[in-house]
Amino acid sequence: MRKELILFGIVALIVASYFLFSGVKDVVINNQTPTPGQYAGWNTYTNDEYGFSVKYPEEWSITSQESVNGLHKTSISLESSYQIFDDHPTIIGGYLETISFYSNENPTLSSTEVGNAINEIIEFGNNQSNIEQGAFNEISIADTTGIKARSIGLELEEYIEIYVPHVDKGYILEVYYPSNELTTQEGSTIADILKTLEIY
Amino acid sequence: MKARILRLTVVVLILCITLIGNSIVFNKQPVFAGNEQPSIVFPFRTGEVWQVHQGYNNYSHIGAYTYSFDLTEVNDRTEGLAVTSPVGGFVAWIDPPNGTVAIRVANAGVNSDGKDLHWYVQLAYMKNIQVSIGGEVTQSQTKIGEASNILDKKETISHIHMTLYKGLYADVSQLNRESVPFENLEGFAWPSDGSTNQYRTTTVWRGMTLGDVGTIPTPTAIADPTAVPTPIPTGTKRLVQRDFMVERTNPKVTEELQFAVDITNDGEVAVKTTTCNIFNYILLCL
Repeated sequence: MRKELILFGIVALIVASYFLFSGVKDVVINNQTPTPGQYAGWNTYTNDEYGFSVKYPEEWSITSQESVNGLHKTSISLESSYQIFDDHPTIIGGYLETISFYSNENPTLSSTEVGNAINEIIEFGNNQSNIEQGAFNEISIADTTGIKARSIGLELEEYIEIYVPHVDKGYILEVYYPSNELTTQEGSTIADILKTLEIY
Repeated sequence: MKARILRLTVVVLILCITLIGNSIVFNKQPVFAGNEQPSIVFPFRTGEVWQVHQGYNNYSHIGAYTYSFDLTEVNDRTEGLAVTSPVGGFVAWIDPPNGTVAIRVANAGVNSDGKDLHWYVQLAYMKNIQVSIGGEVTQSQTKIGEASNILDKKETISHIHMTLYKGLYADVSQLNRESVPFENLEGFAWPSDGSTNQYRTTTVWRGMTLGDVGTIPTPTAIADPTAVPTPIPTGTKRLVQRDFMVERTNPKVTEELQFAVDITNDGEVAVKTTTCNIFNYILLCL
């Protein structure tokens, strides 16, 4: 009887472990409480047109502000993390530590439509794009509920995508950053940057 | 009691095996039913000559993108050239940050689960995308966008990426897609022999034939325009070019720089203006 109980316990433990630890846990931005003084010396990027602001360390800088196919893109990067790809046929290089914010240049969504758009992303992925995306999980960000997934991009790079509903402005703020050991560790700079994101 | 625990253990084990088995099945590439590929043409205008910069089986052309072509214009004038629709169909999805448009074409049979598959042609890295989801496109007639280097997170050269794949009509798992070699591109097949970077440096153009693969097109003789000196009429004004300097704050980043010069005219004579762009250290004037 005791042996059977132990056997059952082991099996139950294996099953529970499979479901609990089958996915890699992303540690970024789950803690929304910045440490006091943590952001001393940081710069603030503010975009009144699209209604958001974010802080970033003084070693980081704005590396892109441009219009991309109907979206306004702002990228903030650690310049020293730029990596050149000498032997790649088409890729010149890229920042290992960088984060991009995309705002719709013609926001038209009502609050209901913003909610519907978020649900559609959860169900079908962004733009129903067939790009490989992991399951979207709800996260707390910028004093609202956003969704986040790990994805594989056009150049087979792994990245994190976050969608933040911006009801007041009528669009969904899209946030992208590479998924690597520098960006997904507990206490990474990008995790700290995301804690400072505010929408208004 | 002992028997009940044993039965329970067996049930849990079966459940476990079933769930793990299902997850393996879900992550497998689907088995597609065969179906004839749609007619595809190169996504640029007739008269232009491009080359395969990256071909099958190389670097990022693996997995779902194994049988893809990265195309560049032979004279490095890729940036800004019109990207035309390689097929007739409907815009299935757009990924603006990566300049990507996928066009859903014809039915491609059913998968092993009996679900409908369609052919999709995916184009990427474009700027100024001019189509919207659900819009109909006509082969070689509809302008999809302009060739560029749009890519989030990384910096790439200007080129057009083109992939043909089979996928589910509404793909939720987003793993159900299969890249296939072109079998009907410009009217003939581009089979894979499994080699690395196959078809790299192949010169391509609209209307080429199978026999043209591996050749360089003979340039069409264009008569030099005869220079006819035009006398400068009385009252013509001339704009003297002044030196100027463009300072790039971040030389690591490839960027397109646009500038303009305001010219005022009192109406005596017409003034022709020229727009210039600097890209990759090259000044281009239209």
